[in-house]
Amino acid sequence: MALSLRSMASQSILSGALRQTTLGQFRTASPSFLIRGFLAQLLPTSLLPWISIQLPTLGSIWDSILKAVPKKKTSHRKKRQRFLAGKALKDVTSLNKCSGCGNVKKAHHLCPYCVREIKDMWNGRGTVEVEAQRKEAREEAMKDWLTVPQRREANRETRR
Amino acid sequence: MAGSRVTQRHLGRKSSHRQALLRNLVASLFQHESITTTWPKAKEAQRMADKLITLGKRNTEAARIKAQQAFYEPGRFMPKLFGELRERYLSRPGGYTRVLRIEPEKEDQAPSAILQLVDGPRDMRFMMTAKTIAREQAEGLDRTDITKRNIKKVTTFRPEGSASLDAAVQEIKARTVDVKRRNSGIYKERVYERRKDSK
Repeated sequence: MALSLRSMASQSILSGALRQTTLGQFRTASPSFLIRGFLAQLLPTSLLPWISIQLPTLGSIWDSILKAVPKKKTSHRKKRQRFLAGKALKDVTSLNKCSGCGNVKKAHHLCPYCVREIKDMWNGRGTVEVEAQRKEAREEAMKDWLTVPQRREANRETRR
Repeated sequence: MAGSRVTQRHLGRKSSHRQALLRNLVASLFQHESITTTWPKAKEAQRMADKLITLGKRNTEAARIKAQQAFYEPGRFMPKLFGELRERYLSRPGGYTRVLRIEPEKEDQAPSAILQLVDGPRDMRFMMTAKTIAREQAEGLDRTDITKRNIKKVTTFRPEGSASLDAAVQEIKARTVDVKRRNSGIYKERVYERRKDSK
């Protein structure tokens, strides 16, 4: 109801203003002055502030608040996939056979098994007998270590 | 460094640190005859070691002074350089050390290598050749050109080269290798700090 009244009023204001400008006595006056003068005659004073308030338009709201943004947080998986793209491990194709043991090894590199064996030879280790002896010695030491709490308990009793 | 030729690997260290590292590496090489380190370090230490052995062969007063500057413990290494090593390499025209690539030793997969004194008691090429001959004999394989070349390499300047190679072949044949130990023995030296929350 209010809207229709306003639109009607604005129409009449405009037409009135145009009519007024044609008259010789108002030719120097500005159009806004004419509108205000006309309104004062036409409308009740309570409706006057409506003219001076500048309401924000839909366009300005759109610019300040709504923009194109990601809908979801990028997941850890997707992020890592993006960063590691093109950095996958490459296949090792330069392989050949070790002349010392026949295992597959990298070309221009020594066979790790043979290196191990030869180092063991130098250090007096790696044969079945030596390793069996060492295992035995280790188990003996382990037994001794396991009896430590028992011995400690025995010592305590003797002290009492 | 723009425009100038890089004459030395920097090894991620300043000059003094690098020099100290190389001196230590060379001292370890002379002590143990064979060291395992990263490939670039081995190549740099190799240069220094070869030059030192050349000084040892020259055996002049100036050479002694120069060599003495390279060691932190001259009293420990000078007698070996100007005695044992000088005699060993007197007839060999250069190439006193050898760098062999091996599988990465550390868990950061840095390329590793063995640096060794040629014809010494810990000559890996010599032992690998002996192992190859042992396998040839055991399985009745033909001798390849590479093996022939390697035999020539390891026996030419070694005193009683062929005989010592045969002895090494016999020793390898006589051994019964603990296969479980050999196959489980390829472990990586830790270089990254272990996380406290990891199990």
